[in-house]
Amino acid sequence: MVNFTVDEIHGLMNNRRNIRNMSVIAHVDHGKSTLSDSLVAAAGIIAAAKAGDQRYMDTRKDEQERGITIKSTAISLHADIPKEDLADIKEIQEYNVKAEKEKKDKIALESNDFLINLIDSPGHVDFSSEVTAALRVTDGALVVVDVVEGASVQTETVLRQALSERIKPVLCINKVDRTLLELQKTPEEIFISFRDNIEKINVIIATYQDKTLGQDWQVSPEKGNVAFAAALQGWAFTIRSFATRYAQKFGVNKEKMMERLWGDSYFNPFTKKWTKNDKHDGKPLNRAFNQFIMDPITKIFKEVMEDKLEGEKGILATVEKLGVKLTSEERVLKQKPLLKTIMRKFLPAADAILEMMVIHLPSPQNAQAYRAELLYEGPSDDESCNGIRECDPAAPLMLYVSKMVPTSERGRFYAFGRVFSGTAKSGLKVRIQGPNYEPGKKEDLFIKAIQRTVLMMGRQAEQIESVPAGNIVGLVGIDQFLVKSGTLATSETAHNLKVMKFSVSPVVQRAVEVKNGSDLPKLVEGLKRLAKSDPCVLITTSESGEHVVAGAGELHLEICLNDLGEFAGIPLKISDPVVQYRETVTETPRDERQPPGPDGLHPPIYALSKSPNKHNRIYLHAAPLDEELSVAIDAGKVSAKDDVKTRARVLADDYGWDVTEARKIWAFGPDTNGPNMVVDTTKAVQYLNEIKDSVVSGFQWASKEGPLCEEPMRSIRFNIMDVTLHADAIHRGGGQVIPTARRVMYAALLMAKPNLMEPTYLVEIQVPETAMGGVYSILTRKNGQVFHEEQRPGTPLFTIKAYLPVRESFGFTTDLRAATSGQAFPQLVFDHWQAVELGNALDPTSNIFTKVIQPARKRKGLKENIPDVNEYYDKL
Amino acid sequence: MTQPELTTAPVLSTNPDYEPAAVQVETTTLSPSEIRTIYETDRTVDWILSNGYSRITLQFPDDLLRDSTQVEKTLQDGLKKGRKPVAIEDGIDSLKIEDDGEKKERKVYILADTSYGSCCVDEVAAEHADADCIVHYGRACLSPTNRLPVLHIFTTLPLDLQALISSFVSTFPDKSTPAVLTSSLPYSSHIPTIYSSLASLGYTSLFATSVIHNPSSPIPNRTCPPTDIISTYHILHIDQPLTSLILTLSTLTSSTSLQIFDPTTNTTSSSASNRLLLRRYALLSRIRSAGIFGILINTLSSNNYLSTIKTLQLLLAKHYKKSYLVTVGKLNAAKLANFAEVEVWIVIGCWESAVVDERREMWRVVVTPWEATVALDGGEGVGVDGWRGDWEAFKTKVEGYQALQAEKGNGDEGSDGESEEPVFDFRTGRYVSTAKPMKVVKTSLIEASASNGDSSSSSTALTTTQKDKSLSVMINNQISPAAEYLQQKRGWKGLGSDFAEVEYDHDGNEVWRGDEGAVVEEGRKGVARGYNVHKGERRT
Repeated sequence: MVNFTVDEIHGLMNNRRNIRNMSVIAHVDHGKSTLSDSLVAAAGIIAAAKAGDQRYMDTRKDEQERGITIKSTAISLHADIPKEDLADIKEIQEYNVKAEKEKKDKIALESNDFLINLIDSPGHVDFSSEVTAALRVTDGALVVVDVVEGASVQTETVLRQALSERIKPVLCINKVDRTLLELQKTPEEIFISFRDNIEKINVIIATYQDKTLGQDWQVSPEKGNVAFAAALQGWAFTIRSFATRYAQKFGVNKEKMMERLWGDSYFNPFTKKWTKNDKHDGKPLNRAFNQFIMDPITKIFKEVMEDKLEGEKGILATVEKLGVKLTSEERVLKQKPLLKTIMRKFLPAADAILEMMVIHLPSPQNAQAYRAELLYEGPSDDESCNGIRECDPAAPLMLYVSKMVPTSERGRFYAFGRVFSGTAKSGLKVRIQGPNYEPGKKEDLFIKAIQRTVLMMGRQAEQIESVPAGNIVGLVGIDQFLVKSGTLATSETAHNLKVMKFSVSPVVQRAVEVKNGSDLPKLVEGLKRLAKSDPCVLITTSESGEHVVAGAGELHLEICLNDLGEFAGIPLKISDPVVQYRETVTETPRDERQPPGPDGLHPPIYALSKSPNKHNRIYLHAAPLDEELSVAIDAGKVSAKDDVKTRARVLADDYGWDVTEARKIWAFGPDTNGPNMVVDTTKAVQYLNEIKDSVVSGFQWASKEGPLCEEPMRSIRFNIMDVTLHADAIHRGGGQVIPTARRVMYAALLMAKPNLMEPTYLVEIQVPETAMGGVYSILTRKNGQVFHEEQRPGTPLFTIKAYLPVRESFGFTTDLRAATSGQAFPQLVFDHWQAVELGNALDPTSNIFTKVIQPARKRKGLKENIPDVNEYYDKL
Repeated sequence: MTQPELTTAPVLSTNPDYEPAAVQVETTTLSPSEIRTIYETDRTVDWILSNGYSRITLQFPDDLLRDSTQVEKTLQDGLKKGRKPVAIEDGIDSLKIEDDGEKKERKVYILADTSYGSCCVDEVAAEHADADCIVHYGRACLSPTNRLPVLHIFTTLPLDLQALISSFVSTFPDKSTPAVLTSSLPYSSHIPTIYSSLASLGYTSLFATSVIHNPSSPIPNRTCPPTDIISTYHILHIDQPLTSLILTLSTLTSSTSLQIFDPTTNTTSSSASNRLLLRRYALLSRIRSAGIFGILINTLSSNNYLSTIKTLQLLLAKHYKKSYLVTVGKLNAAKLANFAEVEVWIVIGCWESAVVDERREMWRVVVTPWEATVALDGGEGVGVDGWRGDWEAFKTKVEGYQALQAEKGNGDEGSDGESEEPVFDFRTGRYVSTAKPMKVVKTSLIEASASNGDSSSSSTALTTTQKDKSLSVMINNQISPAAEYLQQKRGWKGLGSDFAEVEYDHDGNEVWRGDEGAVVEEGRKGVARGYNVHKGERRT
C-alpha cells in the first residue's frame, strides 16, 4: 500500500525546509535504478521484496528489455526521520551558526516529515542530456559509484555538470556485496577500495566545484555524506547509522563516534582506548571501521553462505540480537535470499540513504539562495530573482520546464519542471518564454493558462491543485508552446531562466523517409512528437528536403528512431548514419611579395567582392580562430550577449586578442551565437555602420552553409579590412551588400586553405588484459588514437581511453564486442571537433574530397565540384 | 602633386594568383542563309504581309540579341521584296493589303532587355513602340496574350537524329514500351520525323507531342496522351528541360521513367527530378513559418495575374500573414535583398519562370503561388505531389482547399486572450512565434487581471489591443511587421548615428566622438528627373 496520499504530499509542499529535490546520477550499470527501487519500496509503492529487481523507475518497455535507463523519471516520496535527528540537519546548523553571529532568530524544524522529489537518470553517455534536464530541477545529487569499477568518464561528466549547476553531491558506493561474495576481499582491502573511490570523487569535486560559493562540498564518510550500499540486496549504511548504534555503548556523542569509525582510527582492546596509532606493542591493531562495521557484515555474509544458521551461535540467533526479526517464512530461506532478507532488515537501504539526503542535501529554500544568480539571466535584484532567492511562494511565478514527458493521451506531453518562485496552479495565466525570448520583444513569447498541475509519480501522474516554490511539477496545457524547455513567468519584466547546456551534441544524423508518400503527414506528426520527447534530439529538414534526425550517438539515434516509428505508426525508410562536418580554414593567406609588417608577418591577401552594381567593394580575409575559443563560445562562456568591454577583456587576457579589435566584433554566427565571427578591422570608413546589418546578414547566411559542401562553418574569423561604398544610400542597400558579403566570405574561405572538421568521440573501454589485443586492433583499424591506458588496482581490468572520429564509429561497438568475445564494453562520448586529416580539400584527387566532400555534395544535390574562388572573387 | 613610386602593388590590389580570366563576349554571327532558316524570316514576312501589320516589334531573348540586327535586316529586305510576289499569288484579297502597304511605311523595332522573363511576350514594351504585332523569338512559355497578335519563332536548332534514335533504342530496348516524345521548343519540329523513324523500327506505343498554346495541359503546351493512362508512359525529353518542366513532368510519371536526351553530347540520362521535388518540398516548411511575404509580379502579359494577386492576398490574410506587393522588373538577388524584412517571396509569373532561384543565390526563398497554397491551406506534412507551375493548377488547388474547408467547417477560433499554438519550423527544429504577425495576440498578462473586475467587455478588448501596440509596431493604426523588423533587428538607426558612436583609445577607454547625431532636416524631394532642391518653397 502506498503509505501517503496526494493530499499529504500537497501539505508537505508548503514546508520548504522539509523538501529535498535530488537526482540519482552515475555511470551506466552502477545501480542507480536499483537503488531508487529501494527508496520507492520504502515509500510503499512497490513491494519491498521486489525492490532491486523491478526497476520501477524504468517506465518504458525498451528500458525494461535492455536493462538500461533511457529517460529520467521523477517520483515524489515521503520520508520521516527520527525527531532527534532533526537537529543534525546540516543546513539548519549552518543557518543557526550564522544567525547567532548576526544576532538573528535561530530556526528549528517543527516537522520530521520530509518530501523527497527523486529523479532517476540514465547512465549511458548517449542520454546525458536527460541527466542535465534532471539536474536543473534538483538541488542535490546522489552520485552512485560501483565499488569494483570505480568512477568512470561518465561519472566525471555528470558530476561535473552537477557541480557547474551548483548541485550539491552526496556519494553512494554501491555493490559492496560484490566485494564480499565475488571477490572475497578482506575488510581491510574493502576499506582501501572505499577510500580510493572516495578520493577519486573528491578530486573531481575539488576540480569543478564553484570556488566562489565558499562552501566545501567534499564528501567523506565521517561527515556522514557517503553511504555504502548493495542496492540489489536492498541494504545500505552510513558511518552515521553505525555511530548511532555505538555512541551509547561507548558513552560518547554521535559526532565523535563518527570520526572514530572512519580512517586511521583504532580501538585498542588492551588499553580500552581510542588511538590513531595502528600498532600496540608491535602488534597490528584492527581498524575501527573494520572492527565495528565490516566485521559484523562479513560475518553475516560468511555464515549465511556457509549455512551456519541454527543454534546458539547460528546466524539467526545473532541477527535476532541485532534487532532483526524474521518471520517464520523467512526463517526457512537459505543462501542469498536469506542474506538479502537479513541485510535488508538489518540495514534498510532506504533509511540510510534517505537520512543521508535529508541531513546533507540542501532544501530548496537554502539551495535557491545560492543558485538564483546562476539560474536567472536577468538582473539579480528584480522581483523575479528575489523570488527565486527567497523561494517565495507568494512572489511572481518563475518556473523552468526542463523536459517533456509523454502522457497517455497521444501526442500530448506533461511539461516537467521546477517551480523556483511563486505558485503554479490550474487556470493560472502565464507567460511562456521560449529559449529565444528577449525581454521587450514578442518573439518566443506566449500567453496561456495552465490547465492542470500534476505530481509526477514514476509511471503515473496524480492531479494536484497547486504547487508552490521549491517543488517539481508536471503541467498540462503548456506543451504546444515549448519544443523542449523554457521559462514560465507571471512578471512582465521577467527574463529567462538560463537555457540548459548539454554535454553531448547531436553529431550523428540519419535521414528518414516514408515508404508510402501518403504517409507523409504521419511522419511529420511523429517527428514533432519526437522533437519534444527527447531533450537532445534535433529534428530538421535540410535544404535538400530530407527529414533529418540528429542524435548524440548510435544508441541514442536507435532509440529515437524506434520512438519515431511508434509515434508515426508507419513503415519508414532510414538512411545510413551521416556525420555532420564543419567547414574551417587552416591558415591566413599571406602575400609574400609585400614587405613584412611590424609583427614580422607578410600582410594577408585580401579577398575582394564587388556588389552587383559594381559600386561597392568589400575586402576581407579569413583567419583561423583558436579552437579553445570556439569551445568557449559553444559553452556560452564567450557569447554575443556579453557586455562588449568585458568580453574584449576576456578575449585579450585569455586568447591573446588585440583589445581594440576585440571590441569591434560585429557578430557571431551561424545563428548569431556560433563559433565564427566578423571583426571590423577597418580604419575610419565612411558609412560603415550603415552596412553593418547587411554584412552581418550576409555573414549569418554564409556561415550557415559554407562553399565546400554546405556544412556550417567553424572557427573562422573574418576580418574586414576595407570597404568602399557608393555615396548614395540607395546604391549601398541590403540588396547590394548582403549577397556581396556572402560572396567575399566564400572567396576568403577558399583562399585560406579550407578544411573540414569532424566530431570526435572520447572512447573509454574497460577490458580484461586477455582481450586487450582485440581492442587495439579494432582501434587501429578505425583510426582511433589511444592516449591513456591504466589498470584498475586490484582487478585484471584495464581502462583504455582513445579518440575516435565519429565517422569511424558506426558499428564500432559491434566490432569491438566481436573482437573481444564480448568482454570489452566501450563508452563513446562526443569530445571535440578535430580537423579531418585527409589531404587538401580543394584537390579533387585528395581523400578528403573523394571520401567526404564529394559524397556530401552528391547527397545534397549540389554540383560535384567545389566552386572555384573566381566565382566569388572579383577583379579590382 | 607627385605620386611616390610604387615598388610593390598596393595591399588592396588584386593578387595575380586570384585574378579571374577575362570573360569573352560571344560575337559569332550566323551566315544569312542560316539566319533565314533558323529565324524563319520567310514565314515571318508572309505573316506580316498577309495580316498587313505596319509597325512590327521583334522580341529577342538576351542570348539571341547578337543576331537581332541581321534578322531585322533580312526581314526588311524580305518585306520590300515580298510585296509583289505575295500580291500576285494571292489575288484580289491581297491586293487590298498591298494598297494599304503602299500607303504605310512598315517599321520594324527590336525589343531588348525585356521587363521580365524573355519567355513571355512583352506587350507593354511593344505598346511603347505603338506596335501592332510582335514576333517573339526563342524559348516561349506560350502564355495567352490579350492585347497584340504574336508570332512565335522557336528558332529551330539542328539535331543529330541518328544519335537520338540509337540512344533511344538502347534506353528502351523493349519495342512495346509506351513512351511520350517531347522536346523543348527549338527541337519540336523534329518530333514527327523522329516518331516516324522510330515507328519504322517497330516501336508500337509511342506518342508524339505537338505544340499547342495551352500551359495548363498535363505536359505544358504540348498534346498529351489521355490523363488516366499517362502514368504508364515513359517520357523522352529532347534537350535539358527547365526546372519547372522537370518538376511538372516528374509528377506525371515515376521519376525513373523521365529520360532526357542532351543534343550537345548526344546522350540520354534519367533526370534528378526526385531531388528537385524534395528541394521544393523543403520550402513548404519555410512558407508556414514565415510571417512577412512579398508578392512579386514577374509578368505583365498574362491574363491572370490580377486575379492571382487577389487570391494570394486573401490566402495570406486568412493565415494572418503580412503581404506586400512588390514589382522590381527582372528579378535578381540584389533587388530582392533590398527588402531584408521579407521572409518569403511568392513570384507571380508564367509557368516557365515559376522556379526562380535554382542556384540558391537569393537571400530569401522564392516560391510559386501553388506552393504557397499547398503549404498554407494543405496543412503540415503535405508533399509536393502533382507539382504545377501554371495558373490553372493554382486556381484549382485554391478552390479544392476552399471546398475542403467548407466541408470541415471553421471551428478552430483561438480562445480569449491566449496565444495560438506556434508553428514548428522544420528547418531549425524550433517553434516560431512570428508566423502569424497579423493576428492580434496578447503579449502581456496585465489586463488579464485588471479586466477580471471590468464589467464592459468591449473596453477590455480595446485595452488589449492598445497594450499590444507596445510590442507590435503600428503604422497608421495598422500592425506593421516590417516596421517592427526595422525597429528591432536593425542596428543602424539612421544618418548621424555613426557620429554618436563610441571610440576607444589605446588604453581601451571610451572616448565619445562627435555629437549625438545630426538633426533631421528636410532634404530634396521629387523624382530623379528633377529634384526640387530644398529652397524653402512649398508644395501647393
